[in-house]
Amino acid sequence: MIEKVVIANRGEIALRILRACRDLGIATVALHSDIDRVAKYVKLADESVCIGPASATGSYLNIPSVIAAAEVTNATAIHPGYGFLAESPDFAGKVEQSGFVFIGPSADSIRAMGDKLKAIETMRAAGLECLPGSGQPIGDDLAETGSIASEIGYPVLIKAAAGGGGKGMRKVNEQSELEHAISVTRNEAQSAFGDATLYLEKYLINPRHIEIQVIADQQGNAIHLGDRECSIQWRHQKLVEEAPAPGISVEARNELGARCVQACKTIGYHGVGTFEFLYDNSMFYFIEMNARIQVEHPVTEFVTGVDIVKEQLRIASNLPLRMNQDQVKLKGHSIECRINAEDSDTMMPFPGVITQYHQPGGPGVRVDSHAYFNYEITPYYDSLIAKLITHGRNREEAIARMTGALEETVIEGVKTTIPLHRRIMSNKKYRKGKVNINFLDQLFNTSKKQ
Amino acid sequence: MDLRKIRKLIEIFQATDLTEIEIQEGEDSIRLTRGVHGVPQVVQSPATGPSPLQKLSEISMDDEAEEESGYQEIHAPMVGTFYLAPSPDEPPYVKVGDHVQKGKVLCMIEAMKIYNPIESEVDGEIVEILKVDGDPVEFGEVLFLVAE
Repeated sequence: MIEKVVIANRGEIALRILRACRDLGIATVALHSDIDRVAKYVKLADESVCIGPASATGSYLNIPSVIAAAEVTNATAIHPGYGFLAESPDFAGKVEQSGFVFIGPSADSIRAMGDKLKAIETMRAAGLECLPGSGQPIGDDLAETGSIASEIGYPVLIKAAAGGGGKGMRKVNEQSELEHAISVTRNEAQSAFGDATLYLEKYLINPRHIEIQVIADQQGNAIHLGDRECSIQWRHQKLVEEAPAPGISVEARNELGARCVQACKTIGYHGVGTFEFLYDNSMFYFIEMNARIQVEHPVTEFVTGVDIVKEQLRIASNLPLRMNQDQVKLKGHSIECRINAEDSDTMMPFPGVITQYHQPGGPGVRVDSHAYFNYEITPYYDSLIAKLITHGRNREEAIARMTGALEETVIEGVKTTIPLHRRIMSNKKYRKGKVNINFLDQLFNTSKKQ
Repeated sequence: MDLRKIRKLIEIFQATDLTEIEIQEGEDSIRLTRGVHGVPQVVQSPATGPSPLQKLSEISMDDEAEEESGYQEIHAPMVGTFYLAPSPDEPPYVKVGDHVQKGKVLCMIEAMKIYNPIESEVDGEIVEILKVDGDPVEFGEVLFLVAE
């Protein structure tokens, strides 16, 4: 087993990794920026190193600083968490070159999945269904692109191959909008990602976002841990996730999961990962793969009993998986609500100091949070305060527990997404499991009309 | 500038109707302005002084210490391993008592096998070197004290 892990992240995921290390007897080094020096979770680590100023480019995104911190503390491995450097193939490569273990997939796997167009090509070849699209970069010949679009049928989506996080994509409703959409998206892609490669695919009107969690070891074994429903999003940021996805049959889930496992084996993937799909008319279309731990991993942990972060640490230590597919059993239902420091009506970030803080508890309730009384949510990083996760024998019980947990939670001093989560939990469509990626837009529109 | 002198100036300032006063003494200068709550506020240059929004009672301990010692702190601009000499056989860049000028290399910080020269931000005499060869240093740690 690896002996000492550098946690190259902050906030709740830094604490989550720290807890997993502690369970396994692994020493921890918390990296932090100047402004996070006072954060209490940093003090729980065996050692801590300040790696730079508050601005993430000088600290959490600074590759030489992160590696230097691993060097000065004699660490053996580096865990990138999610966001920041987690999906940088350069970082993964440099970590390995510097003689440390990167807790995640190989740099090559990360690079292959980072190019969305290449990822689609790879997964199509590995047997996954993808959306009808250009299948290759679109060129400067507008007539040619136009004929591809007409063949697929409008609306279509213009996407940057290097894009992600909802950036670098544009919906095109008809032929006349095509030229403008291409030039705007191309400029955006060039300035945001330094890569102007674009592709085109079918735009689905009301799909659901469903994903499959996989884990694969370095010995060639891979399993899936079921699916997650993540349709409740605002500007491509997920807000509520659950496992398993409601209304998907056991057979459909297992078939999709088996295909993802096969794809992992085909491309020689190791570590944890998530295959993201759009689900429409009983069809799953692969859109991208996240080569890292995800924010919403706890719902899968609740229904499978598998500690995914611990599995990451074991896989990085070159240990084989501890179970086979038949031993993975989904029990009950789990929901996660992301409590962000955001105004529930406008979804605008709301940084500030937490002046009252109380976490909920009781059976089937889990809170993953780095926050506490007097903790300051600064404008430098994301606005996640806490992940509230509940588990029940079935979906109804999970919703009931979430409703109660939201009521018990006290966070004052900043506005939060709690009021919005309460609305979602009591919404009739949500309670029936009738969600799609436009759910929140529709919810906000109804409230404006009233 | 001596903290007692600043306090004295504030007393004088408070006894008047002035809204702003600036005093220069050699390279040091101090500017006092009266805030909206009628409390005098200190704006001190160089930029290490407390922010104009800070009340007098809140001048931080660090500033006081620096004021009293009169030494300029050279901080590590990055995390890494501290080296006082270009290589083990060579003499150190600086030793206590050396007079250095702004821009003079004081040490190296190694990160990812790259040796980054750290230059003095001020002119003055090295009073104390707080690290030895091979020490790990964090971002923001004090490496040298310099008397200007």
